Amino acid sequence: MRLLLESSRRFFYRHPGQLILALIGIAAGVAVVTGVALMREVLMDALDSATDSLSGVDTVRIIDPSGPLDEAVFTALATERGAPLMLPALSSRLRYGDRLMELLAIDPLSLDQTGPIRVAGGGTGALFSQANAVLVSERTLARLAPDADGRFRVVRSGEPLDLEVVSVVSGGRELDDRIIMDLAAAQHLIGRQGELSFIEAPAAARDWLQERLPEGLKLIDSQQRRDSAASLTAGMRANLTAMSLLSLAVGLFVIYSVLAFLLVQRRRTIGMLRAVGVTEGRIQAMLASETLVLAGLGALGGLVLGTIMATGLLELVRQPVAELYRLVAPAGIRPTPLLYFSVWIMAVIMALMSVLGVLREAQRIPPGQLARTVHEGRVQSLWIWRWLPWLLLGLGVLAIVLTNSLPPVLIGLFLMLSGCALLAPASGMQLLRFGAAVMRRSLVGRAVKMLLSSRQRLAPAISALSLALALTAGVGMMVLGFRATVDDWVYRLINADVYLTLSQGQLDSSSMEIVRAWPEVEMLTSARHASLDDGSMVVGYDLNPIAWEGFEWLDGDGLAAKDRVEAGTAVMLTEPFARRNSLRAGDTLELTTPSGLINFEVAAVYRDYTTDRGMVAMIGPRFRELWQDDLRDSIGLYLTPGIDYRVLEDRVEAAFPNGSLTSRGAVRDQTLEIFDRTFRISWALAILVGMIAAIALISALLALGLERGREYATLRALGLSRGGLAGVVMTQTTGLAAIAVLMAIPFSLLIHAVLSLAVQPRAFGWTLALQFPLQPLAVLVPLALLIGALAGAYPAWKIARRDPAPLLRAA
Amino acid sequence: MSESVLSIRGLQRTFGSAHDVQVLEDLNLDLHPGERVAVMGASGSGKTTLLHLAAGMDTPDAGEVLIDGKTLSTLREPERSRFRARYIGLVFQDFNLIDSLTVRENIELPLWLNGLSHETDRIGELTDELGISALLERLPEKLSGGEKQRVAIARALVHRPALLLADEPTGSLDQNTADSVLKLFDRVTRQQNVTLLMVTHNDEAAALCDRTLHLRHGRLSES
Repeated sequence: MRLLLESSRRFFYRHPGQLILALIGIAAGVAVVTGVALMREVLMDALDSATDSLSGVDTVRIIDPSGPLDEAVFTALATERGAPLMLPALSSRLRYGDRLMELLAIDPLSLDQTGPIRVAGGGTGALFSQANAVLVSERTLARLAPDADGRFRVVRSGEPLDLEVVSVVSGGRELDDRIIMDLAAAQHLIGRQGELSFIEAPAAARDWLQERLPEGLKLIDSQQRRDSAASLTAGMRANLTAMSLLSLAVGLFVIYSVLAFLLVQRRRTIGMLRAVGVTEGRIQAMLASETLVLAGLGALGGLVLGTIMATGLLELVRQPVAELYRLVAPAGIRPTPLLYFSVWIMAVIMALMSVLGVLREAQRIPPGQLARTVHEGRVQSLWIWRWLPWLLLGLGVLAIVLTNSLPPVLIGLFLMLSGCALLAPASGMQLLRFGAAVMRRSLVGRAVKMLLSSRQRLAPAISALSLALALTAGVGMMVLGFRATVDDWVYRLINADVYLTLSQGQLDSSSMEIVRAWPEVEMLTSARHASLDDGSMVVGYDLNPIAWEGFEWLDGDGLAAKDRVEAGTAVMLTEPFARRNSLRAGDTLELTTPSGLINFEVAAVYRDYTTDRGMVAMIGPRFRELWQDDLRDSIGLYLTPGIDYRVLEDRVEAAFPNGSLTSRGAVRDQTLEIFDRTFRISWALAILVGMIAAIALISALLALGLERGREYATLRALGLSRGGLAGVVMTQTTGLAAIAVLMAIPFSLLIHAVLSLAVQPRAFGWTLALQFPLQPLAVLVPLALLIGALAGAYPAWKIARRDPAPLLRAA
Repeated sequence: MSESVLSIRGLQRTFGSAHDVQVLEDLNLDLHPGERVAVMGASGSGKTTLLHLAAGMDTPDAGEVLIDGKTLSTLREPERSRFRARYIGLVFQDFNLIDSLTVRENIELPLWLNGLSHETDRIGELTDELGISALLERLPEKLSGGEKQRVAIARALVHRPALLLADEPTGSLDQNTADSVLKLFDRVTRQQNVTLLMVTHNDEAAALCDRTLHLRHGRLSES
């Protein structure tokens, strides 16, 4: 065995290019899996747990499910006899450039009293004396890049706030992108006097707090918060995991290609070894050992690469998570040995499984076999192999159609993709056969015909490339289709001309009356949101006839039930809410409100992409009555045609000094910006998968070039010119890419349809209008053909630049 | 005497990174139309190298090869390939059939390279002569060694080359098959009146030729 392994080592030493390709292939696949796994951990772990870190103990949190918490609750609890140490906190979102951050306002004294957080130079004192003083962690400080005096500017609700870093706190990654401020100063600065977001206390005080908890408030522990974060991001994490596993699968095709290539290279050697008595088992053990070493080393590289990549991927996903779920995730990853070991062992096992075919092929090499060219012959296949792709596709379709939850749909999608992967080579080769028959008298026809005999060798590359292309195009089509749907939805629903919001202070019914009196305004609409216990929302709308027209009904007809909605007996549900709660138009919704449990008729279900937790929409007056909340988040203004906009701005400035007007177009742009940021991670992963597939293709084409070396040399000997041979090689590689592309087109449509119609509804609760934007294919098809041609260019150049005689000797 | 079909003058070829292995040294040879010459020599004496140089498949260090009066070294690569496709037929020891093409397509290759794809009658004529007309639609992997070499001979002759170069045409065959292939080879090449340069170890093969040359120390000598 030692001699066999030594022969392997020397072989790789002489073919460093193949060694590097194999290592890159597996490393790239493992890197994506590692990166996504590390990022998933961060998304689940420690969301909104900065105060845990501040207090240094496991905590429970008092919240008001209906909105901000009254500071008087804290005062009342804190002054009771035997009260535990409690931390009142106010949390608010700030924007620093493109980055969303959290302003976490607390009592600075608590920092000195408890917990592992240490403030450098005892800087907490400055928090009391300076209105805009803040503390940040070292990592956050590096991101903020304040000026020499420690000053930096953030934006809250469109208004700039100038803050000053007075000290740096040492702490965990939970403090990433969080700005710590004195509670009273923050309340004043952002106009939320008397309000808290939550009160935190040691978990040991749970029973004490429970006994004294005022009605309507809720006590949640860190596990509940973690579960909530996990549940909120479940759809997103599932999608990312699916993409990462697919990238590993494509990476494994590279391992297969390289191992198959090595087998071709050493067919003669193996035949000789068999002739001198080396058993099949030993040959297989040698190849398995090579796989083990390649996969092991490549996977180690992948772990390192993935760890580096995870921070970048996390950056892509933190912003959307913050915008969609109001959760500021830590900016740093926390790798664990278990995670690394799990990914490494999975990669090695999968690599060994992926080369089983090569091991079987090695077994078939007869002793004394000296021909290097592989005669693939006709494989006597069992019926199951012929029907397996269709069986997998069928099972996949059944899993998708017959189930309602996300995991079976993802399993179904994988079954379908596996079926497609198996179907691609055979169908692709049929297409090539047809093409060769049509063009049999031409160079192209002959080149393609020659390619056909390598079908088994090329099958993995065709599968990998067509799947990767299909995935990239399918995800691209889904994202663009989704974007178009969201654009259409925003355009319909956000149909006032401008929206009035305040950066400080609040809009209420009196504000509505002021605006209504302006001659420039024809009609108004308004919205006020409140959170429900399960993370979903309720919104109170003041609607006018045009606003009513903006809803797209998916079940029932809200307009037909308008009277009952306006009477406050019926509500309208967003699609995610209806799906999560299995409600349809005509059903009854039992809703917990601050005024008690109320039954509402479900008037209709409408298209909405505001939140995947879902939303209940009711008429404004009923909302105000039940929630005892007269405020408005925004007021929509429908303007009189031909007005002078500057006059309107003057009126806003006079009546609402902190007010600002946002046009319908700007709201649309902001929405689409958030959308684009949300899907940057999908694009990034799809491109990574495509890059790994390109490595698989290049590796397979190198193997093809070597395998076909004697044929190429013979053609040259018979008089085919260098240019002609280069044409043959490049026709073959481009042909290979072309069939992968041809197979990828229907697969991409399938992936798009499954993602849009099955995965999105189950992951996020909403359906998408199925559209087929062709831009991804318009980019990917020529790109794949170009990669195919370029991948052929190197072997073509290498073969063509030499005289035929040395080629014949070498082959 | 008529002009030579193949004329080799002062041919030199060395191998090795330092050009320290001299295989051919000041080698001269003339083949006249219809002449059949066998070259014999020990393994490693440079027989195959001579054939490759004669076909323009390899570049000499010095000297020149003229075929039908054309000096190969003066031709640019595409012209040399076209010239080889038009004037030369090649038979290899290992047959070198294209495994992915059928027998018919293999034989068609030189016709296609010379833009003579329409001359399909020529394929029928040759394959009848060589007794392989029933094999036309088969792939090479389904053929015996003797059948493969007959296909290779048909491919070498199908475009009526001025010069046929054969490298150990029976080297990979057993004795009986080699005998029968050799007979066919002799008959067909005589019928086609091709000029033949054959390198061989086989005395019987050499005996079919008009003269036999020996390659020793890089030079040819009459036996």
